[in-house]
Amino acid sequence: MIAQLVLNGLVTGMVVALGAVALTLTYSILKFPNFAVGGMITLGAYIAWLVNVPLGLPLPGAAVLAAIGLAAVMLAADRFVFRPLRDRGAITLLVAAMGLSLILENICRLAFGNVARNFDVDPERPWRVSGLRIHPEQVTTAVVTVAAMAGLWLVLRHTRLGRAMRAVADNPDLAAVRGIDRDRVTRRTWVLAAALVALSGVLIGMDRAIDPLMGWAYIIPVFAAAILGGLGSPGGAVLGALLIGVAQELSVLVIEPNYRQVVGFVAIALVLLARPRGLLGVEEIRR
Amino acid sequence: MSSDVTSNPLVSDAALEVRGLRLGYGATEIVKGVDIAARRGAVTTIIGPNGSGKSTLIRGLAGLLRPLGGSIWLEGRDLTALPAVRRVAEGVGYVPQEANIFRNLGVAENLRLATEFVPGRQSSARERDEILALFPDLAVRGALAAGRLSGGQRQMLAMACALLARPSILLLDEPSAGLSPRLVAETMQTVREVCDRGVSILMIEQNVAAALPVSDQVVVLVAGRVRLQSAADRLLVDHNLHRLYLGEAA
Amino acid sequence: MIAFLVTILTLVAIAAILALALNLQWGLCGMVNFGLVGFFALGAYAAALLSLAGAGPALALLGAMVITAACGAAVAALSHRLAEEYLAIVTLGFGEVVRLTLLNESWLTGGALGLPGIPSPTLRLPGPGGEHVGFLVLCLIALALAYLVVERLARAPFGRLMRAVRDDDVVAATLGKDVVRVRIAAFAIGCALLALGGALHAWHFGYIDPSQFTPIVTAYAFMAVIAGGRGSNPGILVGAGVVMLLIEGSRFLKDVVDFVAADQLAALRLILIGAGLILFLIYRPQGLGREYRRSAASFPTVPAPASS
Ligand SMILES: Nc1ncnc2c1ncn2[C@@H]1O[C@H](COP(=O)(O)OP(=O)(O)OP(=O)(O)O)[C@@H](O)[C@H]1O
Ligand SMILES: [Mg+2]
Repeated sequence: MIAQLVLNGLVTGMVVALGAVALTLTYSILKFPNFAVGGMITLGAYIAWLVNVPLGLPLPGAAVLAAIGLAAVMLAADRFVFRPLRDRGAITLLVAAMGLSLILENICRLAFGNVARNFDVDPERPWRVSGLRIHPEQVTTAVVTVAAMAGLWLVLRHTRLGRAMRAVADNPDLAAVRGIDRDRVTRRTWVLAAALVALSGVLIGMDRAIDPLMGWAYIIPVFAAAILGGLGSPGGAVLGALLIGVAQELSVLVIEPNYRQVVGFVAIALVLLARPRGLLGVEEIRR
Repeated sequence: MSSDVTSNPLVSDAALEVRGLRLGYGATEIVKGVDIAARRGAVTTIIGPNGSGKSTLIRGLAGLLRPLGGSIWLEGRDLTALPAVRRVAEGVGYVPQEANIFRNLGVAENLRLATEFVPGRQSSARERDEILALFPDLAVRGALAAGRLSGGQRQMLAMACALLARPSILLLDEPSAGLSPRLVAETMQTVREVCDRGVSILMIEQNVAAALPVSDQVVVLVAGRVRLQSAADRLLVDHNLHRLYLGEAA
Repeated sequence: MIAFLVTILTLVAIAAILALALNLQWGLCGMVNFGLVGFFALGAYAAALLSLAGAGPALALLGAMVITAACGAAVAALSHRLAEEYLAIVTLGFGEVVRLTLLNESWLTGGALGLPGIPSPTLRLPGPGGEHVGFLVLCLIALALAYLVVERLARAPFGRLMRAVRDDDVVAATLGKDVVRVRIAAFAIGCALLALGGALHAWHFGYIDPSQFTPIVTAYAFMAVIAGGRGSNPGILVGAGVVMLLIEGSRFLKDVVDFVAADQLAALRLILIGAGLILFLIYRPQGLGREYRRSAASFPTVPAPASS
């Protein structure tokens, strides 16, 4: 029973990790918490659904197109929303991001209504492995997430773009002095973040249904994971997400299942009280 | 922006020439119309009391602040409108006062980033070795996070990074700050050597006693204005300067 | 027609109280309250439950405001050590906690069915619909009081301090502890005003349920504040009025253009709110009005740490 909960929690955590890492990437480059992540999850899932169901492309292809589509949307958002506000401080930017989230979410509602949708995939029966029920989607989720994280790690550690991103995150002024164009790095960061969030949207859509509020339900766990990991540390965000996922599943042992979402909030509160730099945070969160 | 080479009779022997430069943050003007000519192949040292706008001035020269007025010329080219990202390629090297390295990146990565994004300024392998030979302490380099280096090593790394992009002018903001007396002397020696290899230097120093011997020119900046600009050896014997400078600082 | 006008004015007055509260928190102090609807709901439920339990209006209102202010203070204190950005997520989380509690603690809140039959205070004015006009008068009195409170705070040294802190990180870092206390207090006062709005809302409808308290309320409040001009209290009144009229007005739209379904209309409205927020932030950050503020020169200069 507990092992099953932990397993489910790890899988939930992986989905959360994709969003949390995306949040962390944009935070370290743009220095504001991207509250649009909820709307991004929703839009990513709907793009994949649009390609998968009405157009009939298989889900993996649909996921790739969702990543590309969401990246295009976020590039436009960067150009027309975030760039004009770049020098106006984190508070202004995060309110604008919330406005953007409202727009993205409601474009989906306007286009597809409130009814829940599902991807066109054949439901398979769960496998039983030494008493554990493992759903094929859970395996898919794990494989996709681990692959995405490994890919991201390679990009960050071993490419020109990764070095530029880490340099800007570390010291934007010095990066400029070294000839690193922050606007370019910013755009590429949006592309990476959008791809990760679109993937998480697709995985969430596989797990439950696709509806306009799906992203909203994930905002708090995603933020909790990123904060737990010390905003700005992708590794920490993954760890935070796994912890949040497991804690959410295990919480049903002590509280009503309806309150599962409270776990994320409690985690944020505890981190803020006890260890403001997060678990692996490199820099003290400013005050 | 404009890459036209404006011949200018006034700057014949100046590598960097600043005219009427005004800089500030928001509405407050800190640097209030400064004229400086940093001679080619020389060490020009800016001194002045705390808060007189020295760092602000040099940040403006590096392109991190948008000028409120005036102009900046390097080897006859107008840099005024160029942002920091574009000034490296024009030959501006800058070592900030603090936060002069990428703390969370390895030493090797810091060195790599010194030229990776600067088109056309890669140094040859030989130049590279020569530059690194100036900083023997960097032998501990590699995967070590640069933030773990000692203050002196950090300064060395920062200077090496700036030099690898083969600047025609190197801007140094208090290279000796926080270093032990022995390291201060060494750093000043390094500055002189770098200059003798043909890099013009514009440096801020609080430690006048250590800086004057290696300097060719001195600029005294007080409250955002140039109070005095003169050859260094003249000032070594000018007690007025000491009075003026120390008097203002008190 | 008169009855409709009275209803609209009552709703505008309540909306204006919410907007004033948010203006104190976000406009004046830079504290982003994404959980505004949670505090509003908390105030409404507390006032409703107290009224249902037989408490008089004054006691119910006082109780609601104290409880909500205490929660607000706790939330602000939780995030005070960190950058402002964290308050935004903590308040958002608080809003979700409130929503879940309202839905799940049926023994207290009635769950999804909500609380019916809330007794409400009013002034017995003569004439047809006199009690509705009477309630409107009460709402206007409450609005006037809220306005005076926020306006006084904005003009007091406290308000100048807050504006200085909001606009300048260096000042914020320099002033430290005092600022933290003052900000927590400001946030709590804002939450008390949200509770005031909540109590009036509960009394006005006489029936509350969780579907009345969705994050959309928060979005409307932000729109009212940004349109009215952050920091400008007179502007906020206009902003709240305009937003309320647009919302109520657009309800008629579906009688005219019958090809849009109700939920599509709601979605469209929210898209416009989101776009409006962004456009105001970019092109008219001062809103339609102008912020009350003395010229920068008359501020006492705060010594910045000599950056070295
Ligand atoms: N980022 C900033 N925003 C606003 N004001 C600033 C900023 N940086 C510096 N200042 C102000 O500009 C003035 C000059 O600062 P600057 O750092 O240029 O002085 P400095 O001559 O380098 O002093 P020091 O010798 O202490 O390094 C100071 O009053 C300082 O408070
Ligand atoms: Mg300085």
